[in-house]
Amino acid sequence: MKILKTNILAVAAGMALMSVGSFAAAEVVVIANKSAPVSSISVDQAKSIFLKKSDSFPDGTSVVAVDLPADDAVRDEFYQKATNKNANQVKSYWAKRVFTGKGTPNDTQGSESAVKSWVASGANHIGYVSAGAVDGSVKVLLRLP
Amino acid sequence: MKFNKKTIGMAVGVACAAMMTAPAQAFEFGAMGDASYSTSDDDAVSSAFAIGGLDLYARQDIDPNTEAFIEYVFENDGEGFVLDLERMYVKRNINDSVRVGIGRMHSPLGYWNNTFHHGVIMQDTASRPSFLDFEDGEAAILPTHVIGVTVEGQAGNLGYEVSLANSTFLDTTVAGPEIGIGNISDYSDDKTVFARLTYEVSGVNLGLSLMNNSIVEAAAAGGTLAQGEELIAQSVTGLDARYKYNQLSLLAEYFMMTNDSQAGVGDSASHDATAYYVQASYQVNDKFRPTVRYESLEADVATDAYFTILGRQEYTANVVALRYDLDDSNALTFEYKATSPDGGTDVTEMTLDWSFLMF
Repeated sequence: MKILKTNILAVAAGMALMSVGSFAAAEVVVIANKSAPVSSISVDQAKSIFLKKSDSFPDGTSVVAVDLPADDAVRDEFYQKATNKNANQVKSYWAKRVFTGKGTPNDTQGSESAVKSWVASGANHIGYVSAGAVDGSVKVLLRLP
Repeated sequence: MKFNKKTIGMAVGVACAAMMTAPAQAFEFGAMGDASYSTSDDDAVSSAFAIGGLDLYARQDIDPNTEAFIEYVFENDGEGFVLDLERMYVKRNINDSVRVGIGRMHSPLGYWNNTFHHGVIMQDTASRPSFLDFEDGEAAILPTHVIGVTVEGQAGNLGYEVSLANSTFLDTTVAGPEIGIGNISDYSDDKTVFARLTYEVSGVNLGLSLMNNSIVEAAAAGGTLAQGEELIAQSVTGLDARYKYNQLSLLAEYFMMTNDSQAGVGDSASHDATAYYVQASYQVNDKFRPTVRYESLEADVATDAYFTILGRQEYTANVVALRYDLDDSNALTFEYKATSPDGGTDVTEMTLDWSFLMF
C-alpha cells in the first residue's frame, strides 16, 4: 500500500511538473481588429489563413496574419489545434513553400502584447494569443480550447 | 554550371557570412537530400546504394518588394561531387499582378519542372519522368533552366509568366552532349522565348506552355556548324492538367516539339516529336500514398538531328511507387520502374529512396 501511495505521489508530481513546464491544454484564441468584417471564423478557415492558403476573410475581404516567434509555446498550441501540425511540421510546411516559390511564412511579432497591438493597428490584421491575454483592443473570432 | 574546390569554399564562406550577419528580414535557409538503394535487371548495372544530390537553398525579402533566392546542389556528375548552381534570381513585385525578375530559374515549361524542382521529397515518386530529366541527365530533351528575365503574375484564377532567356547550345563534337545554357554568356544573339498561362476552373488546374528556342553550335572547331550558328529552330507547346478529388490526385503533361534542322544539319528537315506522362496518386491515410505513372516519348530519333545529336531513344515506361511519410520532413518511397526503349532491351529498376528536408 505504501508503495502504491508513493507511486501515485510520483505520478502526480510528474504531471504537475509537466503542466508547469509546458503550455499544453491552455486555450488559444484567434483575434482580429475590432472593425474586422466577420465576427467568427471556423477552424478550417483559420487554418487556411495562417497557412496562407487563403488571403481573405470568409466575406472576401483581404486578411494578413501574424505569428508569434517559432519557439513560442502559444504558437505551438495554436498550430497543433488549428492545423494538427506540430512545430517541426509547420517548419517543414513553410520550407517546402519557400523552396517551390509558393509562399513565405507570416511575419512574426515578439510577444502576445505585440500581437495584440499589431492586430489593433490594422483593419485586416489577424493573430492569436492565449485566452488570458485578450483585452478590449481586439475581438475574438475563434476559441481553441 | 560547375565549380572547383576553391569556388566551393568561397561560396560556403559567403553563405556563412550572410547567415551570421542576417538583417532584420527573415533569412530562410534549408536543405534537401536523399539516399537510396537501387537494383536493376540490366546486367551492366550493379545494385548499389547511392546518395542523391544535396540541395541547399536560401531566400530573403531583401526589401519590402524584392526577393532574392539562391539554390546550389552538391551532386555527383560521374567523376566526383561538384557544386551545381541551380537557381539564383532576384524578383521584384511591381504591383499585385506584375512581378519582374532576372537570373537563373527553372524554365516555365509545364508543371513538374516548376513545382518539384530538385527536391525528391516533394515528389510522389522517387524519379522524375525521364524526358523531364535535368539538362545534364541522360534522358533530357528540354531545357529545364533559363538564364534571363521574367515577368510573371496572377490575376484571379489566371496566372502568367513570360521569359526571355539565353539560347540553348549543343556541342556536336561530343557524343550525347548536355543541353547547354550559358550562365554568363550566349553563343548567339538569338534569345529563347517562353510563355506560360495557368488557369484554375472547378478544381481543375490547367497550364499552357510555349517555347521558341534557337539551338546553336557550341563546338569551337570540328562541329557540325561554326560556333554560334543555329543548328535547330525548336518550338515546344506543352499542356498540363491537375485535378484533385478527395484523396485522388491526377496529373498529366503533354509536350509537342517541332525541330527544324538548319542547312547542313542532319537531313535539314522539320520533324515533330511528342512526350507525355499521366500520373495518378491516392492518399490512403496520413502516411501512405501509392502512385502509378505512364510515360512516353515518340520522335524520329533516326532522322531528327536534335535527337540524333542528343542520342535519345523513343521509350515508354510504367512506374509504380508507394510513398510512406515518416513525418512531414522525411519519407520513404519504393519505386518500380519498367522502361521499354524502342528497339532496345526492356529494363526494370527497383528503388528504395529515403528523402529528407532540413530547415
